[in-house]
Amino acid sequence: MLFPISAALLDAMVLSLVNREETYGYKITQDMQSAATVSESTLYPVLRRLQKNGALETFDRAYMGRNRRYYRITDLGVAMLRQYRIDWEQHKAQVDGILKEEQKAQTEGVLKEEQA
Amino acid sequence: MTATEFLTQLDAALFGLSKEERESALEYYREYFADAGENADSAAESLGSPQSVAERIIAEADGTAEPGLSAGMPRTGTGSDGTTYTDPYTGATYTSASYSEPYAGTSYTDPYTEMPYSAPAKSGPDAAHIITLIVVLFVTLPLWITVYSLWLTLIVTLISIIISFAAGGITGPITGIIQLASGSMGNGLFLLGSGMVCIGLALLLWKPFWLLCKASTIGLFRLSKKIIYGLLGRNES
Repeated sequence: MLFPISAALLDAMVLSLVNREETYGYKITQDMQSAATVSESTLYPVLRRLQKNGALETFDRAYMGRNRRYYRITDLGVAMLRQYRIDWEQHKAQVDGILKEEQKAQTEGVLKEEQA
Repeated sequence: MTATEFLTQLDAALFGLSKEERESALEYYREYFADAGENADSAAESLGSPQSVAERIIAEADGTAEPGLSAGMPRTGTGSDGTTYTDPYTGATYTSASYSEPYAGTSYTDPYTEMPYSAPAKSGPDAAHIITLIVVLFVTLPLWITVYSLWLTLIVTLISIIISFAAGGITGPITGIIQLASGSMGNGLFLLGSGMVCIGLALLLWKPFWLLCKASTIGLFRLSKKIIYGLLGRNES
């Protein structure tokens, strides 16, 4: 796990997945696996918390002779997700500002050497 | 570990959590394994130990999760005033403003949609629950005083039995030897023998009596705790 995913980022990612479509626990877990570093067991507490905060709501739908619990995003969840995306863009820009600045400086250094 | 084993152990590890929280978590994992289908057992394997899964659930339900995971974390948008932001997912453009949103127990106006929201209040004992608790405890005074008295009587009785056998075990042989020394063979042997019987009984009964005391105490206090928590509305959260 090179870059651990913070609780806030985890919330944001789950909100984003539920925002795309009404979905269920196992599918969310599978979709999150693409981010590879999220432990499967951390998702239930996240979903439960978001549900309690009023960001997500649940409903049951029959599937193959049993009930499956689906998650749906609420207006509050949409607002939270929007703020998370703004914060993420900022965070990304700040990190890039440092990572890419150094890269730029190195390139400039190489150019100067070549000119000399 | 199979999925069934995982669920059984998770159920056990979630002991102490309110019934609603426990059922919700178990239902989630039951469904999770049902959706995993034939991969259920390997899915259970990759979830890690049921105990550590339970710890996370309990921490979250109690609101004692580490600060980074806490639900009511106030978030403040900084440095974003007046900047425009294009949502990479929906393509919509927003103008952001900095605001803080303390979610739990408060309402706030979403700066983008101008819609007011109120977040569900944080669960915990409130005045109404505490009053209910006091009233119920007062009304059931005769009942729980009886139960606690019975428990106290049981403990005192068990301890008394052990102490009297121990006393008999000490005094019996001593007086027996004195009687023997003073020449009364019959009395001496009788006292010596009954003293031995007392020591035997004390040693034999000590362990089960101790366990009985321990079990009744733990059981009673757990039951009391459960009732009080129930009245305080922990189950409704």
